[in-house]
Amino acid sequence: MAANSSFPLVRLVRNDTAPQLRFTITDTVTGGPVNLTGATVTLHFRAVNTTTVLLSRQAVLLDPTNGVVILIWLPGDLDQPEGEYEGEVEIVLNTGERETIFVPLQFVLREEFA
Amino acid sequence: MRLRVVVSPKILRLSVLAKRLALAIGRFVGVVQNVEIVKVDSDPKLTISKIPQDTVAVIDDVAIPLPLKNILEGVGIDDGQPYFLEDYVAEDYVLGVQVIKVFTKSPILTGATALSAPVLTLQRSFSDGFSATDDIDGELSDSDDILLEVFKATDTASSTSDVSIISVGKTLLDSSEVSDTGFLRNQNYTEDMTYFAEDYVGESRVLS
Repeated sequence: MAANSSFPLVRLVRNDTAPQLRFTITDTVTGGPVNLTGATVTLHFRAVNTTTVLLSRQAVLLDPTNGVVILIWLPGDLDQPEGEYEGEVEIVLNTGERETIFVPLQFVLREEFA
Repeated sequence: MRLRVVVSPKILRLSVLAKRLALAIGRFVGVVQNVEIVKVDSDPKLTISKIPQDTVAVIDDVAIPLPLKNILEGVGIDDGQPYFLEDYVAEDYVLGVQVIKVFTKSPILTGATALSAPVLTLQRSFSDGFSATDDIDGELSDSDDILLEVFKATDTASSTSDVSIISVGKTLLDSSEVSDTGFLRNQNYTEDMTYFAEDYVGESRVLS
């Protein structure tokens, strides 16, 4: 797990569909929100130290003009073995410009009791 | 002496136009997992039956006028010989005017009846359009996670053709009959032509 990640560790339980993740995307120069109208924001999810992407889930544009999107897990998304995972957030603006957040998200997932 | 060196460093400022991501964890929107089974049952059977029973009757009253036939028969008895071999009558006896009987016959009109019917061709086209749209909550909205649209178009074309063949026949029956009855007597021996019971003089003909 990357120790210098500025994002909080997301703790998940297998086969859950929560918690949701709210992303607010801002511009590093202006500090203002990025207008995501017509854009797509996708989370690519994989296990740590692997290269295989387990799922790519597109976030819902909740408040696109203010750069706010929500990632909602769907049934089966978190049907993964216990372990550490990481996520990559990829933004494709309506202009076709593609930009990926450099620092990946960190997840830890445990087995469910039942 | 004192040397004074002033260092004037250059400062480079770099701005990278990157995106920054802020992450929040929680439950921000309600999610309703809808499981909908869309089933469309339709039995597009069209049963079309038609009893092609057409009764067509055309009656033509045809009156055929028969040419007027005038029957004019003149009967003359003149054999160019003296009627009597001996002088039963005076020498100046002149044979009377021959009796001419004129028969006239009115035209006989016979009514003719003909049954005729035209050929009727009946065609009907049937078409049935069916469409169904199914959606999560009955109408398309932003809250629909799943949009199912089912379209089913059923077109059934059927046709019914009735062909009625009706024979047209006309029976023309014309019968005419002329019958003449009577008698013809030719004599001028007496005023009363029935004076003699038999043809002692003159000549008689019986028409039947």
